[in-house]
Amino acid sequence: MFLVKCPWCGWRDQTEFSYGGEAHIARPLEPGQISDAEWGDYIYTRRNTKGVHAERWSHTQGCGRWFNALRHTVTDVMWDSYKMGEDAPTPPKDWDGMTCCDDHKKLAEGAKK
Amino acid sequence: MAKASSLYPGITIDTPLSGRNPIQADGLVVTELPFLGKITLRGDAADPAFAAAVKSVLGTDLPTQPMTSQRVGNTRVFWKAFDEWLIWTPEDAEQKLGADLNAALTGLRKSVVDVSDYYTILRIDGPRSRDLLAKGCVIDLHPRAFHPGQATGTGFHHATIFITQTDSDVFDIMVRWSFADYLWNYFADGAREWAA
Ligand SMILES: [Zn+2]
Repeated sequence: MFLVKCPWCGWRDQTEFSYGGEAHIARPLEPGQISDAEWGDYIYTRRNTKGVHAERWSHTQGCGRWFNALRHTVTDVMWDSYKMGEDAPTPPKDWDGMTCCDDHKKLAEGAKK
Repeated sequence: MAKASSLYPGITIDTPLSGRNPIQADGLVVTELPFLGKITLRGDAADPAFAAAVKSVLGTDLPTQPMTSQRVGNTRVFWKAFDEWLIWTPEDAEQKLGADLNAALTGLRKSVVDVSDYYTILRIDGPRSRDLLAKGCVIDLHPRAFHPGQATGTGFHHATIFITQTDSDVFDIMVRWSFADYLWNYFADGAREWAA
């Protein structure tokens, strides 16, 4: 179990959410014009990322809305979430998947002091 | 307690927890608030025409911040999602309110649905209310994190609920009829720890 950040409601327990798989997979505009292999690719082929993964979530028990999020698939720490149609946030290149964006910010501010 | 339906003459309606005695324990009372009117409203609060039309009926601006609510008399308006609100009215006031909203919003993109009989509401009252809720609720209800007027959808063990804090130690919890018995029994079992 881990925490998920709803773009509206904030950080909540994972049990309030439903997982929707990899994000940003566009449905082919003209399904009738593509080959079976291309259609199969759209349906089944996924990155199976080890590390930072863009994925869809729904805040099922809360506001009920779908959104996108970046999660580290090794640690299950979510970096941040973003609304549908928005660009994905960019975690630092050396992000180790141990802190979310908000904790990362707090730690950075603490280090400056 | 059954009552005559105001929509269908000759039909008697009831609630899923009808006839049950309140759950009572040391510092805790759980009761059902039966038959409150409940309306879900959807639309674009950023559209001035929508916002003005709703305000003309409700007498208040729609809450646009997550987890907030507004209260006008005995009517409560809750933020449910960025384009959705939940309205609780006194018993039998929901039909007129729904009709008034539909009339005021004519020509605008909207949805007004009477969900009064889809849900019921349980009230937990007393200094032990947070302890009881902590047995199955995943959100932080400590006074530093949650306070009167706040409201949100969340879960209580297997039940999906909508919870609002009404007063310092009073929580109102809306639940589907089909889950009302489950939630009631969970509360009854949880309250045994503090049996008076
Ligand atoms: Zn949410």
